Amino acid sequence: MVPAFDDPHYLVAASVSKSFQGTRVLENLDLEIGKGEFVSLLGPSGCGKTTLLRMIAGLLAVDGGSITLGGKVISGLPPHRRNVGVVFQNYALFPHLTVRENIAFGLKARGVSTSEAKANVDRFLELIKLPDIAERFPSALSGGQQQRVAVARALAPRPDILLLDEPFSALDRKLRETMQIELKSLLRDLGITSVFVTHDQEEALVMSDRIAVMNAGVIEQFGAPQDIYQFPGSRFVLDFIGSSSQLAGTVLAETGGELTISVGGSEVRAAGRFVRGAPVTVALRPEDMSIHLPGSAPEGHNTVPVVLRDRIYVGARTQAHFTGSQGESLAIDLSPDHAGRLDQGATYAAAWSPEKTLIFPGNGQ
Amino acid sequence: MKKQGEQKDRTWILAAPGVGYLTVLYALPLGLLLLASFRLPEAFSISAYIDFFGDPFNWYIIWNTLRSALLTTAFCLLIGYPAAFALAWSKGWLQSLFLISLILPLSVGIVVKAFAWTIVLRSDGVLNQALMALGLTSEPVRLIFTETGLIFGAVNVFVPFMIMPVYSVIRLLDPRLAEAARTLGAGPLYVFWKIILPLTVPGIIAGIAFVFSLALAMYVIPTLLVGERFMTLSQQIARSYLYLRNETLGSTVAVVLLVFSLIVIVASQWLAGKVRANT
Repeated sequence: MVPAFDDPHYLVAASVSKSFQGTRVLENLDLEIGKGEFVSLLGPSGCGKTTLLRMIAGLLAVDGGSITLGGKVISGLPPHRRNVGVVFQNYALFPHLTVRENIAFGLKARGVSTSEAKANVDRFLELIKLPDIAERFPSALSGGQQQRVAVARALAPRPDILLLDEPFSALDRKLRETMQIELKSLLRDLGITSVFVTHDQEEALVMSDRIAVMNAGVIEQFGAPQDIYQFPGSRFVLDFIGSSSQLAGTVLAETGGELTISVGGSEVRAAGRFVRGAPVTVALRPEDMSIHLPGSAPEGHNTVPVVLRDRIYVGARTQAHFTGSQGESLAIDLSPDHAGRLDQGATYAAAWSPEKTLIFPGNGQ
Repeated sequence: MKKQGEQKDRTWILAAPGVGYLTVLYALPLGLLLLASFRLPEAFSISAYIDFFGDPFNWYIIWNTLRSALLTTAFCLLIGYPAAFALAWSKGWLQSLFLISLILPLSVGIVVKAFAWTIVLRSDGVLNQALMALGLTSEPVRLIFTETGLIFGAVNVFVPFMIMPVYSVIRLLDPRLAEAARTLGAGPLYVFWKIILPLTVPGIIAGIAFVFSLALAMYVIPTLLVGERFMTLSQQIARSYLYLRNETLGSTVAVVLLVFSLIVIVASQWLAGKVRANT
């Protein structure tokens, strides 16, 4: 197994730009991916993530900037001279070729001898655990099987990088989760560098070494899944990854990176640097808050008064929805023994520790 | 036993008007006509066929018919196949222009076209003047009243019937297949031979079947462009009925022509089925 991050500049996109009919889709975008790394491009549709992937593959030309792979500038090369592997959203398996012929296609196109190609195809059929379907046509395969064949076809010619364009979107939820884990371990074992395009934040969190969150043609944040989730760098990242409750506040005082913020009459402490009087948004993850009877919250925690609106049972946990003093909506995860004992319409104290407080400039007022 | 709640299949009702129309106005009279080749109703005999195939002149007519249909089909494929891609891959006003230039000529009658071709093909026509101006030939090439002129006209009339089925197959072609092949290391030519050509074969088969069966039976084009000096099966049928008043000969030739057409249709259906079974 190749140790990850051997070469931290394996794939480099340098100030890459792209326009379609006068509309800027990518704006001087920079991205560096290490060898063996699995990186997700995550964002809403139209954010430019697929455009970037297609430019790495050579299926779209860059308007400005350059793309380098393993020290070689590839942005001027046609796709068949780049040695990339692509797994397409609908898999794009060749319908007139058998599974074996599909997987062998890249090897044959590169002039690999028939016997060598056969050995390679057999190896990949084993890797994707489908040795028995080699002679079938794609139309006779299930969605999960098609996806595995598409992965094997892309990997068989030993590409320098694997590009995946929403490869799970056509699978149902249960199968998707299995395939995610399976694919991740396969790619880790092969040590291949991968770029994965998705709009599904859960998928990105599960699969990635690092996530590039994209919005309107720029990368908003690039980091490990835990960092992106725990320390979202912008309001956009906060809204896009996971759920959060947001409270409008005003900075009362700042001393040495310690903030005191007024949130609807309550005083809240957090870390950060803002000038006095600055409008801010206090954001909280559902699992970071707890519910207490008024006046009985843990010492040192921030608290705000909230009224219980309704409860939603989600299986492993129960999520309760509260209304804050300024009419904000707060979603808080409840422990199972708590869930049944709360009264609708009653007032409670929502509490959280100061270091779990996320602060963003502006409060929308 | 009929299962409870099972609906009776009444799809055939949709076909009834068409089938009825064709049976009464086409199949029945055609059947009666063709029976005449067996000298029915007086007696049954295949002597008309023995006479027909025993005459070398008729073999010459069959050869003429097949050769001109084959050449017409080949040129239609040569011109129509790339044109179908241009039609499918062009966008906006250019595509509209291509479609109009494909369909509009269909509404111009063959007679009008034939007289337009004579302007192009005659010895002092546009084509000959161009050839001489380019220095490709020193004196006018004889085009009109020759097989070359016939093919020229037939391709002109039938090429839309090649373009249309190929075009409809290309439109169903997933552009990601070619992209996938490119990223797998295949150059443009390799992609064409291994992906695009095999996947457009059903359209090619349908186009060949259309053009070949139309070209086999063409009558107006050879009559106007070549006349009596180049006999085809269709012209022979017309001559038998109109000039020779020989109904037996006419229906015999008609049966021969019908058999050729049936072979083309059955063969193309079989081929198309084979291609479909592999996808």
